[in-house]
Amino acid sequence: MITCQRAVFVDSEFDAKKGQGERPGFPHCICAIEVFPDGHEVEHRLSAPYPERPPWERGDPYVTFGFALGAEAGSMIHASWTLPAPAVDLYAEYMVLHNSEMCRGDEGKKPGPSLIQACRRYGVPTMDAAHKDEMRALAYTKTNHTAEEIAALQRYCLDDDCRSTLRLFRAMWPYLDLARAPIRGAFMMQLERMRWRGLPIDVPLYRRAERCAPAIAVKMRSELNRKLGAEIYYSGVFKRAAMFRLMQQRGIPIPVDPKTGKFSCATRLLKPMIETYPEMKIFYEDKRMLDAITRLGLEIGTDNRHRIWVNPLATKTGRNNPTTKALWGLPHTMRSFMRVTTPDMAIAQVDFASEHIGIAAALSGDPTLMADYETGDPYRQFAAAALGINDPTELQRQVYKACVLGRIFGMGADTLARNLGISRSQAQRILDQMSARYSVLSAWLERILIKAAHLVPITCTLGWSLTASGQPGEERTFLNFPMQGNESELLRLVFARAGDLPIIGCAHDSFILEDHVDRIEQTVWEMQNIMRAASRDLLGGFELRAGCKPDQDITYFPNHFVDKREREDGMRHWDWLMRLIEEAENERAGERSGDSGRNVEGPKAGLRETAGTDNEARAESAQTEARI
Amino acid sequence: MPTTDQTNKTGEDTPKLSDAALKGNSGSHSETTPITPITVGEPTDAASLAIDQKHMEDYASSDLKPGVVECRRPPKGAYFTVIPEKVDGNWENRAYYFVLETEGRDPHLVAHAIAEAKKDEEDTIRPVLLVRFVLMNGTEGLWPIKLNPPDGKANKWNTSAMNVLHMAEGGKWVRIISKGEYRYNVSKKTMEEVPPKFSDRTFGELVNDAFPSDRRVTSLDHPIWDELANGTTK
Repeated sequence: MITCQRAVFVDSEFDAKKGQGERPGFPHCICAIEVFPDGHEVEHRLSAPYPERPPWERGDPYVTFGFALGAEAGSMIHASWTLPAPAVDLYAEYMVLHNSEMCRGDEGKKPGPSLIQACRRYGVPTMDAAHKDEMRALAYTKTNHTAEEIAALQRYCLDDDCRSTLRLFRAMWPYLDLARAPIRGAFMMQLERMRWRGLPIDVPLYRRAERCAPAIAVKMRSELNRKLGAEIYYSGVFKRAAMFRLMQQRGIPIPVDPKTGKFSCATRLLKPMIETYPEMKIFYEDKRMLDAITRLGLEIGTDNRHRIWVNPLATKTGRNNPTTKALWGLPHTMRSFMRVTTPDMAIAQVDFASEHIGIAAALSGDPTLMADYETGDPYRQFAAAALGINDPTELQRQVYKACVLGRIFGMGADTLARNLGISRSQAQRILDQMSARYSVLSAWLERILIKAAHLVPITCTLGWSLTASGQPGEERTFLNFPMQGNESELLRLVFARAGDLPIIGCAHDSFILEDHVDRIEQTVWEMQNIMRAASRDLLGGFELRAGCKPDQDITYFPNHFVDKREREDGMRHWDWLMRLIEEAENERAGERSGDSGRNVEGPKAGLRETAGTDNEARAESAQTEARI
Repeated sequence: MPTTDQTNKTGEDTPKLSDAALKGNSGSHSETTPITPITVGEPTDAASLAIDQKHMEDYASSDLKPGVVECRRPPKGAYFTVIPEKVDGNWENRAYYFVLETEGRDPHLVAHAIAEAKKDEEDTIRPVLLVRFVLMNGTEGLWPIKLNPPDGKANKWNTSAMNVLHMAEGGKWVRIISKGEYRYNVSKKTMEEVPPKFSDRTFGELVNDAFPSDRRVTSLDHPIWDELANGTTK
């Protein structure tokens, strides 16, 4: 804990360049209200050129307050300032305090508030929305502001935004958890730093995919029909009835959507069945690629890097919730659009291994599950114990993995039976085996439900919480909430502590880092240490594994990033996509040559060149690995 | 030269929050309340700031008022324990009672004299051993263990319930499983890891809470006798 004699309420005006994949614009102004213990205030109105450090930085500790501090972090990075610490983001604190309230209703969680909305929620007088729009327009549409316009922006920034933030703080103060708020504040600013860096994209390849997307989609639909031997796409339209018919004919149970109570073939419901039914695996993977290719829209800046707002704290469990326009919103099979584009750089992926199970083991205190997690493969341990054998097959492991994860997600015997293609009694027997082996976990899960049913908030390690609203089907949310909620808390703590490391992307359990070739392994090592320490700190000393296999999880120039699952699948989908791009381009070129007699070799040669580069890159990478 | 414009301004000049603004936020600090010095946490403090997840266990946490006490078997799926009694001393957390139990009604406690008077005409009255128990989450209750009849013909449910009780009083967290008789699981969590949170209420207070005055039958005029003799629409 740190005691600060001064508080600084900061805001800045700039062009956010929303949806463009660019870094935020250079700040037109940065303003702040500095508050001293005697109530004395100093107002700061800054504009370019900015000083080396903020004028309120005087060597003694002070706390920074802001609303959506990520925006201010961007301005500070532009000004070459160190990001302030400790810092409290009232947007993040609002999301913590009002999560349950925002989750009520049938339409899912409501979006986070604007500063005006937050002020209104707390009865704090604030600016007029029309005035804000007017000032935003001024900030967004020009770069060569006059002195009068800069002064107007500064007035708005200080008198409206900073002053509203100060008033909002006073109103929220009695409810704020100031001990843990700086962790969230640091997280919000580090997210902006991550966005600032951006993910390197193979833009020429991506643009080709984008150009060919309509033709690729047609081919994908046609190939999917052929693979399944049924016309589930007719004239480009997905026919659900045809899919249901196919499932019935093949004896594949049709899942029921727990939200609607109706039969559904949504990919999220079919996912647990793909290891059991090969047709469902084909459908699931191809349909996801097809859906993605028809709405490709990565936001890529002029520096060929992909940047997106990850929409932090936006789900009920506190996870980030970026749009499907994000690279990480694409199916894992298509994440190879990311590529190391500079010879001296490398990209690494570090993830928490079996994070969900590890957190469940730590929180429930189930000694058997903890011991199984520590072996490195809890599912294999469970399968071996349940079957009374030493070395279960991969299929047996998958069955017991589905059971453990399914139980945590609130899955009953009927659903497990459907997903695994076994009888209900067999499924019940496996669930009973699990209850017997992990009896402490099972009892713990039941107690969480009891607690939730009593409308007592379920609170995670750093204060993120959710209270039941009494809606039907909430049990599944609460069975899973402690795990997902604490995964989110862990992610935030890792971000808060890894500010010096070059993180360029994240999923809920993994981080992407980019660094110089000669430093990447050291960076990975530092990241792993931070992740392990964070897990120990939040989970009562229980350490989660932070995995990164240098030979697989570090990508060197000029290779494409490859998701682990796609690699294990032999790059099947990625290669398929490349083939479809080639075919679509050839057909296009053929059409053009038919029209104008132009030679079609150009695009084909271009693709071969790319493919060749990739193959060479793989060979080169193998050599590099051999050297390592 | 940066165009930094620093204007000194005292807190007194700041606009006051309107009454309407403060309404509904009774905890709000007024604009004159000093903000600093202010103490905040740091990311390095996370280990000491992490909220102990044992709260998942105790929705009836110690800072809440004790809840309603129920006279029923410990719920399936929840681990419980009991307080062992001294072999050569008076029992403090269990006792024999007569309980009148009928389907659809809460159990009634029957005074010994009344039970004696009614024993030949009412088979709904049974002697039980009421045992104080507590769940891992801190919920307390009274477990009415039916006793085997004096003629020596043992009932396996009654006998197995006593076995579960003996296991629990041996300093274990146990969980009841009904499969043809009462069986049990013993938690791997020890009493040291999860200490039982018995409240400071006495056994007598628990009995009084579980059986409010209208469910204590101390006379032959109690409405329950009329209900049993003539029926009720309740």
